[in-house]
Amino acid sequence: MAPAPNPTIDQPLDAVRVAGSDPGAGCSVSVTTKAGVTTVRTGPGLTRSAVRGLVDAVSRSLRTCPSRIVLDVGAVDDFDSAGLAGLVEALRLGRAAGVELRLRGLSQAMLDYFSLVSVERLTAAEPGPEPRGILRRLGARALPVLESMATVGRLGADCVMAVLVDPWRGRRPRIDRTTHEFDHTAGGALPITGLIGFLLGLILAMQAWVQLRAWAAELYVADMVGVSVVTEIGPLMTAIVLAARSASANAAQLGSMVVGEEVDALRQMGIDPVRFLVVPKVVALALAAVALCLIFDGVAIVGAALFARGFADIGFVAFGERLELALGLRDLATAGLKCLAFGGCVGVVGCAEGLSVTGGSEGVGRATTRAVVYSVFLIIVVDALFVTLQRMVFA
Amino acid sequence: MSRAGWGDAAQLAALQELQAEGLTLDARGSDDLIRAVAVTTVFGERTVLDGIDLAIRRGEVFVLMGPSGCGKTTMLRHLCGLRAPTFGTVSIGGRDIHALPAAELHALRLRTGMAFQGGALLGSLTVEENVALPLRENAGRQLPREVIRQVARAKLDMVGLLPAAERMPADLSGGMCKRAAIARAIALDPEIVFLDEPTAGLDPITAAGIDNLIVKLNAVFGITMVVVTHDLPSAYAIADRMAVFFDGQVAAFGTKDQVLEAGDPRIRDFVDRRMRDAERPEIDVARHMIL
Repeated sequence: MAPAPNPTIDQPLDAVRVAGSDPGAGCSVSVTTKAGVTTVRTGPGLTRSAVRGLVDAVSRSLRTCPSRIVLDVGAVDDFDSAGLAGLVEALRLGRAAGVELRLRGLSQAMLDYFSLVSVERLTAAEPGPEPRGILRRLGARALPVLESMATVGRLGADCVMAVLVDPWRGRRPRIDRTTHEFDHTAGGALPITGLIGFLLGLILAMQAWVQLRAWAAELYVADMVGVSVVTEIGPLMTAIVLAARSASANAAQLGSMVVGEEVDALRQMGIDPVRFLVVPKVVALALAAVALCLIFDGVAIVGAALFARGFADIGFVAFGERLELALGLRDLATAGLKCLAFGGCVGVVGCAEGLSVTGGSEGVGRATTRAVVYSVFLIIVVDALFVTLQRMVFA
Repeated sequence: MSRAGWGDAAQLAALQELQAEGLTLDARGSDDLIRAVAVTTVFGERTVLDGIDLAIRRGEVFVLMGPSGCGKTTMLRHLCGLRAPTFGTVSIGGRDIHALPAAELHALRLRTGMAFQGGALLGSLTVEENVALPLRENAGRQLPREVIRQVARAKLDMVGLLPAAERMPADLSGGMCKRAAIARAIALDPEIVFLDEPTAGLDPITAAGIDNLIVKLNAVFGITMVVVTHDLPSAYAIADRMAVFFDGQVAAFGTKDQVLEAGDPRIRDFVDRRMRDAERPEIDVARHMIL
């Protein structure tokens, strides 16, 4: 044994390892019963390797319903906190089963250890989880979603106010930050949007051509691709690309700022975080959506025209003429409006999720996921609204 | 304390190798458990630590003290093996820890604990799960779940955090985070515990509680404590010996009295909370202009 007062931790470690690595040394637990009193005697090593045996022995003894259990640890000369936790667990089991359980032969070192903790607190019966009715559980599920929707709505209204009303009240829009954000979102998304646009144009033209060939109506490839890309696919795809790239980035950025108390600091300095941080992002995203969508449309139509020329024997001039007939200024205008709305949604959802982060880095991760999922969902909902409105107005 | 059977055969083999060589944490024939020789660290152009020699004895509370930015936290990261110095060596129990093979370094880490400055608790786990984590991952196959839980709860009780066991780290105050980090650092019954600024930013009463805890853990378990702090009262309360860092060098080394007797004017200023003339903001110009 190493010198007191700490024989367990301060002894040469190789000696300890020998004791611990020999499974026979620690695990010997003997159980004897005499006149209704069960005595559980531990071996010399009350360490990690011996704990399972001890706890098993005690819980087995408890099943025989003895009047009293005595845990004799007099033989112990080597213990660690896992071993002592085993003792505490045994006491807790005894207490839970209503059987009197006593410890015998505690050494001074063990008493020193127990002087740092309260066995009473550690063995106290814990209240089980509160039973919850179905309504409560439903509410617990639904409430965060509703709250999240409310936050998005409020922030959206705030942004609209900031964009439409503030300039009339003499507050300058933050052009510098907006252009910076625009460069970040639109510039960064340009290559991927262009690539997707070109490939999608090719694919759509091919699909349309396969169908239309059956009626010898190959020329209408231009109509199909032009209309579908400009009115639906262009705005949708750009918005989804922006949701994946920028909604997540905004949520992560603002979320980390919330965790780091940066947003509170802004508020405290008299700077409105919505006008300082959110509005430039939302405006930049709305404009970026329009710009990217225009590029997407152009590239997709080029892709389709190339396919038509290469495989369907439709010349560029014929393709262009069909396009001119099929697409009106009205289509372009609605597409532009749609893009503005989609971009705004992506911006607002991402920022709202970021600003409502709670719970540290994990909260940031959750907010980022939600930002992407909710913005894609919102894009589709807004698209449905647009189509319905369009039908009502123009039909 | 048994440290065998960490579950991994490679670890066990590494241990047996260590054992066969007769090398243990208590370096034979010397009181020094941790020894740093000529530790020098360069970040880019800046020399953060400049030839530090330290010897920390088994079972003592050793304090690394000094003003902010003097390199003491960097030194701690070298001592605990998280970061290798640019030059120089750090040895624990006579072995250069930055040259250890991975399995042996892992074995060493299981015998040391570290409490980081901000707590570094995992945000996705409750406080209790945070404390149980090292045990669950390193001895999970050996120990029943309830026992792991009891160990974690006992360690939390030692730092007075048992009532907060089920809470998430994000809901804790700064002092509670630090205490939870200490509980996690001692989860594996380590022989050496490294503490980075355990009392910084805490009120005097909570700070005194943590000082008390450090002293108690040292006294009862004989854990060697290496504490980084710039909190003078705390350093005086807990240190057996200390090293005072200034500009990447050790300005004084020894017991509290020895450090004060060393007579370094910078230490005097540090102790008296006095700003040095060179660092005082220049106001002469303004005075000149007023007159």
